[in-house]
Amino acid sequence: MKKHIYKLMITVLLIFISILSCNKKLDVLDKNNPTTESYFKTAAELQNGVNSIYSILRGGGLVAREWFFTHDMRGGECASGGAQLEAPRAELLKQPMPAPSNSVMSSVWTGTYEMINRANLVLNKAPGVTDNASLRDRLVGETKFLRAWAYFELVAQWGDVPVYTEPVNSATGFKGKSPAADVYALIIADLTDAVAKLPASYSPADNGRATKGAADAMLGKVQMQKGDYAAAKAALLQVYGKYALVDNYQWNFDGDIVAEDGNGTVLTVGHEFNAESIFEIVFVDRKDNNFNWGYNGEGSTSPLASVRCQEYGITWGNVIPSDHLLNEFEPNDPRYKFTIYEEGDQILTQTATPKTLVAADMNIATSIKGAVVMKRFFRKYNIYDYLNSGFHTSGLNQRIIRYADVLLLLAECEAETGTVAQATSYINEVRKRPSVNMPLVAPANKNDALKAIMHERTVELGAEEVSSFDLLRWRKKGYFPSIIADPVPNQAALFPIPASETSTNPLVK
Amino acid sequence: MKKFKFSSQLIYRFMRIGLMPLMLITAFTGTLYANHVKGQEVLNRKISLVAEQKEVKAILSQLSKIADIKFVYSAQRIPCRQKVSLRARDESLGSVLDGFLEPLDILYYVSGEQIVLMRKGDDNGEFILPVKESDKAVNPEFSAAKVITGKVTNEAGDPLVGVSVIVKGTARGTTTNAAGVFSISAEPGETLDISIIGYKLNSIKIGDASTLSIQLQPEIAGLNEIVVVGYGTQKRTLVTGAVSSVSGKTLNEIPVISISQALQGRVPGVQVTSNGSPGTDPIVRIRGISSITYASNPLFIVDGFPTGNLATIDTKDIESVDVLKDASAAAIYGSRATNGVIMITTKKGRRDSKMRVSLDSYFGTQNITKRLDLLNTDQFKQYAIAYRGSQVPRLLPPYIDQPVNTGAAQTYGQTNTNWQDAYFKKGSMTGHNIGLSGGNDISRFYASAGFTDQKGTTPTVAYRRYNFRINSDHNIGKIFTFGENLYAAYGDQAYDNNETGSRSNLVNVIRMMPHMPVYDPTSNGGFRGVNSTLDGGDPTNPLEDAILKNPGRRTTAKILGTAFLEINFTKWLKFRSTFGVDYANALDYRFSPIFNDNGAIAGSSATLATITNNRNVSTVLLYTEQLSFDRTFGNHHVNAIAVYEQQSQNTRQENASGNQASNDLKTLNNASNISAQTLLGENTLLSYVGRVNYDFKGRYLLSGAIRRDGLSVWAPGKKWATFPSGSIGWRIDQEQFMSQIKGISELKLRAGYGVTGLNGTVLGNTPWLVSVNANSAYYPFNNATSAGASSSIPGLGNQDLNWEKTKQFNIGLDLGLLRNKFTVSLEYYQRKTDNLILSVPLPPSFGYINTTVPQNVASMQNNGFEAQLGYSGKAGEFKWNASANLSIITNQVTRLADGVTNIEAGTDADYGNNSITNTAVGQAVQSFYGWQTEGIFQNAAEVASHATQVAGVAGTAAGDLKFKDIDKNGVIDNKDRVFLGSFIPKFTYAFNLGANYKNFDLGVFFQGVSGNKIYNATRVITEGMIRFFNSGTQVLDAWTPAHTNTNIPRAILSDPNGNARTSNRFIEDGSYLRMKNIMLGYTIPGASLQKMTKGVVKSFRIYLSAQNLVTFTNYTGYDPEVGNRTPSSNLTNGIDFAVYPQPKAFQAGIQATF
Repeated sequence: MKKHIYKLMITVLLIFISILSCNKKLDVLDKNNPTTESYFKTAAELQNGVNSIYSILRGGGLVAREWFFTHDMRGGECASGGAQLEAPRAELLKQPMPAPSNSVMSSVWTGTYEMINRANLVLNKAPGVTDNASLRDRLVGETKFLRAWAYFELVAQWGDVPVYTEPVNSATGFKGKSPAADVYALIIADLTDAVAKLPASYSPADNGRATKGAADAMLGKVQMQKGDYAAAKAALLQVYGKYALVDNYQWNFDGDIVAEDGNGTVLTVGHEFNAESIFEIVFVDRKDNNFNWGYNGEGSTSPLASVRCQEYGITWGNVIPSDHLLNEFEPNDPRYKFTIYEEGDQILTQTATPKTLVAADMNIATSIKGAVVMKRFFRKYNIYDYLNSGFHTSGLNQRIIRYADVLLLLAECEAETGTVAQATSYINEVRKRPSVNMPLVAPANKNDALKAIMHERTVELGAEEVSSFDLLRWRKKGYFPSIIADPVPNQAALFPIPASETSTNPLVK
Repeated sequence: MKKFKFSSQLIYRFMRIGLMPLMLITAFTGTLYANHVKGQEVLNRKISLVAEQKEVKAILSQLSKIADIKFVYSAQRIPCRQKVSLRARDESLGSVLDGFLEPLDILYYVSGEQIVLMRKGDDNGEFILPVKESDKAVNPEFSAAKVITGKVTNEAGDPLVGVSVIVKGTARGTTTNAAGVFSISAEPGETLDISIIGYKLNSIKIGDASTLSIQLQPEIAGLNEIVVVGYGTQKRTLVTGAVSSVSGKTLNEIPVISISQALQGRVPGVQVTSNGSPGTDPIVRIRGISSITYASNPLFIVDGFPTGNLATIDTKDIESVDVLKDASAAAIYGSRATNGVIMITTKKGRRDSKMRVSLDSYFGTQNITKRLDLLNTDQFKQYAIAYRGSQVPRLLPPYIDQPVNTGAAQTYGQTNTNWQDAYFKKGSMTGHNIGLSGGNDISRFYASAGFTDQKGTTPTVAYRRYNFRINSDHNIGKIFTFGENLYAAYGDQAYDNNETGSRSNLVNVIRMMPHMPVYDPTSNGGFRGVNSTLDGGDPTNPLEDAILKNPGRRTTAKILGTAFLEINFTKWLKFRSTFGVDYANALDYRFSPIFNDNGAIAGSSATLATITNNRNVSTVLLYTEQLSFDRTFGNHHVNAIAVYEQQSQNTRQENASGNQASNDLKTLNNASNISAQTLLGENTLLSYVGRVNYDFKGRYLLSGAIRRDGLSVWAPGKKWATFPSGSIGWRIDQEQFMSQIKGISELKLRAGYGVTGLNGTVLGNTPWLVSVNANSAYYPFNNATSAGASSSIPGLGNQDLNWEKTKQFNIGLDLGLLRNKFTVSLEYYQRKTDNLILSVPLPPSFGYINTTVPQNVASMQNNGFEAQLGYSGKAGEFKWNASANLSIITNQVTRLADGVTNIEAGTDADYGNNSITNTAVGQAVQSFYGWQTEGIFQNAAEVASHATQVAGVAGTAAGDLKFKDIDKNGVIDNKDRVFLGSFIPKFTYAFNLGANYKNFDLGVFFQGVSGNKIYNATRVITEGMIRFFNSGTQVLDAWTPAHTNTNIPRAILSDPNGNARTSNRFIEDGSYLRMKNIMLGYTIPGASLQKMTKGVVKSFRIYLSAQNLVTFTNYTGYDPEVGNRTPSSNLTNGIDFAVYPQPKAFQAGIQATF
């Protein structure tokens, strides 16, 4: 046995060395990210949480892409640019009700709930933040505004939807559908609180954050869609006079860029965050011709641009103005040329010479205005240089609410609950804008006033993603065809709940 | 002078009765050859000695001291005491001995460091083998035992020469002479072991008889085969689990980069599916799919080290591959064994004191010959009018007559590019491997250097590898053995970053318009892109994409080193401690330049160069402490192991990207838009393993193993799990009653049951934990790009996440007939996973970006049957063998998560925007799912009377497809979808035929699958007509009022009827039978070769081989071997998003040894 002792010693030593170095090694945590317990403790961290809600909002699933499709494909102001329009968008455009699997519709559903869950997290964590109470309260106000915006998109388009007010923390934390009335109640409560907590304006560095005016205007919109015109009017009046129409209609869509031709001549100067803008989604073009197709706004270096100019531009040409929109413009309404490009128009180029548009340059279907068949596409939200090459994204901020919209909403509230005269006054404020300067209207009665409002909203706010909600509101009031023909007859009032929800949430069928 | 050169004919008789105790046998005839060279060396030793009338004994003793050798002889046969004289001055020992022994009638020969002496005439019986020091104490003059003489013959009765005869338990031994005769001294009661390689050992107990006649039976093929079973080896005959082995020779018949490719068709139950262009690793599945969410990759073990990066392992270094298929075999690897274990053993040197040098070298070409029928320019013009209602502007004046680029003579109208011919190119392959091996009782080694270079059949794709290996082990005394394996490889892969996904370059090959040129010398970058306005669609130039925009390069340096120290306490108890490092450093670099291809679509130009520089460093450390026990107690044989093991992995990812304003700048130095990220990962597996194999008389086999694994990736409290297994075997052929049945040489029944786990690391390092995505995005407040840092929680965690365990039952039968000329192996198994980890889709209303959370909720079952048959035959110089294998698997999902009715996958806007597969309870995983067609509407009346094809849309017209209204509600909607089949073959099979005639050898290897379906999504591109692009010629056969006898629906803008929706229209039978390899070799005969090369070249074989020469299939796509081209999903297997066809390849090669 003695001669085995040294072997045993070596063996024991080897085993000892290896076992010594282990066991604790099984306790591995994530070294790359903060934990959920340690984060959202300070107002600065809470602000990052709020920023993440904005970030979803500007993502490809919402305002940078799919959101404007859901509105424009249903609002009667847009048509297919041709075969290149992808199937799910064409389905929204052409079918009374899209299939539950429609990916565009599902993206908006998903995006809004991502906003809501992030908002719920902020609201859940806010009480624990004590280092800067005033900032914290403002952040709560912003959060409630954003949550209300998201729930409004949901309730207006889907009706009864699940309501979550706390962050979901269990895989079985399912919620069934709440009645639309309850959803509206939550939205109104949120906006009311937001109005109380938000400042009227910010220092420039915070341009783009929700303001008190934005919350009031949203509250007005929500009340109208709910059918409470009196409450809507009250809210909208809080905004009245606090903003102003910019002289040049075009300044609402010319972006933040200073575009130059090759010789240093300034072609356009941006006018974002202007006096007319109440709430806008901020986009920036980093000039890398890239887009964040990932939909969710994540990625610390992901592009911050919108793809709308590309989708509606002439190289992709997925969407063009509908004949309904084209023919709604009165002759000589300058807003037509501000909204639409057509054959023969001069378009700015990156050289000193503008280019004249010809049909062959445009990869789009024709449209008919009057009896004139030609190719036309949206100038509104397009970028200000002639681009028939390649792929470009835009940094143009998307207006969610601008003052002209508020004026016309006020007009509608007046027509519904107040006087025709006051309604007319609001309409004419819009028509009197210096660069527009259209003859004033003088409707004789409520229906005429409503008809004038419907016309004015179409030409003033065409393809600004307001008409789809307008149609829902007016259709519910029975104004089609008593006042005008329904631009999208047979459209189902509500979207189906997406299949991605019904196949995973046992409480939603 | 006469000197005996050692030869097999010469057997030295030396001893008579009583001369036995001199010798010890350490080697048999084979060894003696080996010592010849060394013998010369001994005999060349210089001697100076003067002896006058000394006894022979004394002279030998002196010579022994001077020359440092030993003499072995029998004092009774050698005239020890005779006095002789000797004078030698600086003479060689050989000539001294010649002069000194010849007159005494004594012969000698050299064996190692010993010289054996014998009297002339004694050279036909026993000889003496080298003597161990300890045995020399025995008095050489002792004599007692009786002499046994015997004759050994083979099965045909012919004498066997060189058979070793040893008295069991002693140092006495001899070999048979040319007549097959031996004589040896042994006492009654002692046992003679009579053995020679290739024949069964025969043991005879000595009785009264002093003459024996012994007929040896040939060894049955395979019976002594050793199988690697994890933490040790086992004789194949004693294995009770389902283990299949493949030799390195078989694996190397096909020149492939990776071992996984080489395994295709070789093992029943192992399905290997090519997955992309040459050089891409295939999908390997052992016994089907076991997971819904995660890839079911097997565990690869190289020389005991679980490792990845298999493409960096040179297949030429591989001695054998053993596949542990069932749980009872694989459970020794416990938590990682659910998908089977593939054990790779690399080569070692032989202990025969010979140096072997081998050279293995080949070169060849590969080529893709399959083409789809696509439209040429004239046909494209025809189709454009049919589909769009108008010609594309480019093919109308003025564009049609314009030159394709400034200065070119050729116009668009004259251009007719065959994009397939432009895209596919001839590939090449070459490989060289030099191996050195050798060894003796103390040390042995295998060293190799290899170089492999493959250039693919599509632009950019290539793979090059340099690799080096040293395997060695050394016996330090009798107690310690030290060994190490060191492998270093450098792989350099050029890849196409747009190879996977649904808009891959191959899809663009189909979609590119034939009137477009590939190149444009006037463009920045040299390629030409389309203008979607003028050309009607927006495909990307696939050559531009692969060569200019998206080429990537992945270089991997890998070092895999292990060292072990083994302590042999006794013959039956060993301890081994192993330490190893597996280090891989992979750099993935892409440079996308500034360019402008004069086109006008997304990606036609870039104004900044983009540089992507991602590094991934992985370090795996492994310690294994193993105690092995192997002992026989009478009829009981016990082999047991106990192991402690620790494996930890550290990963570091460094991802960076940014832009440069010049194509000359290739790095991120001072780049703009720099994004940088580093990520650390860590996981550790601690394991305790025990296994006992027991057999009684080699007849009744029992095996049990248990492994307890602790893995860091699980939540606290869930880290440890135990994986037991057990199996039994009955070697019926060893039973007495079987001895009457001559035909059956082997018959074994096996059954096993075990629990295995899913390798938790596939879930990530902390799958249960959710962290904050801090500063993971920005919102550009005030149009500032880096304002508004945003932080969020991306998903839900699952603290209850636990080990996924699979229970598997296996029953097997091994049968050998006619001395195993014919062998059969059958297996039946059931695998069931009850707590399968499913990435349960969360409702989008939860609002998390991570839309799933892993939960142990699902359940799945795989049942299967496998058969392997082998036959080998011989007629004169013609030898042949045949083997075949067959595998049948059925898969069924038996449970999903609560609330999750089904999981659909494969939705893609370019392919109709409907899901293509559906995973639902009661069906095979990811079965194809869609509508059923029932013909084409011939007129409006038929449209009106049929169910509405698309709700609310009046887009359906004559010429559209009818879809079946399954639920009879008058509308075709999602509820009318049905299951359309599975990508899982009903059976897979392979057969291999080999033949040798004289110096020629021929091998043919076929491999096939049967009964599987493929969703031919390529046809959605070629004939689906969803959007406008170039298409297949089928679209010219589209329905029109004048052409109604067709199954292609009408050409209509945007497909309003959804003719291209997922339906049985695109489901095809995926069965195929492929001649995977054919090889013809010629070996230059040894004698002439030796003569020609003066003995330098020992063997030389030259061969020609070809792969994929013939494929039998009805499948219409590029290739029926369809993998999974959607890397983000495991549920899109068998969808053909234009797979790269398997190239036809030809090689010529040589194999030489020196």
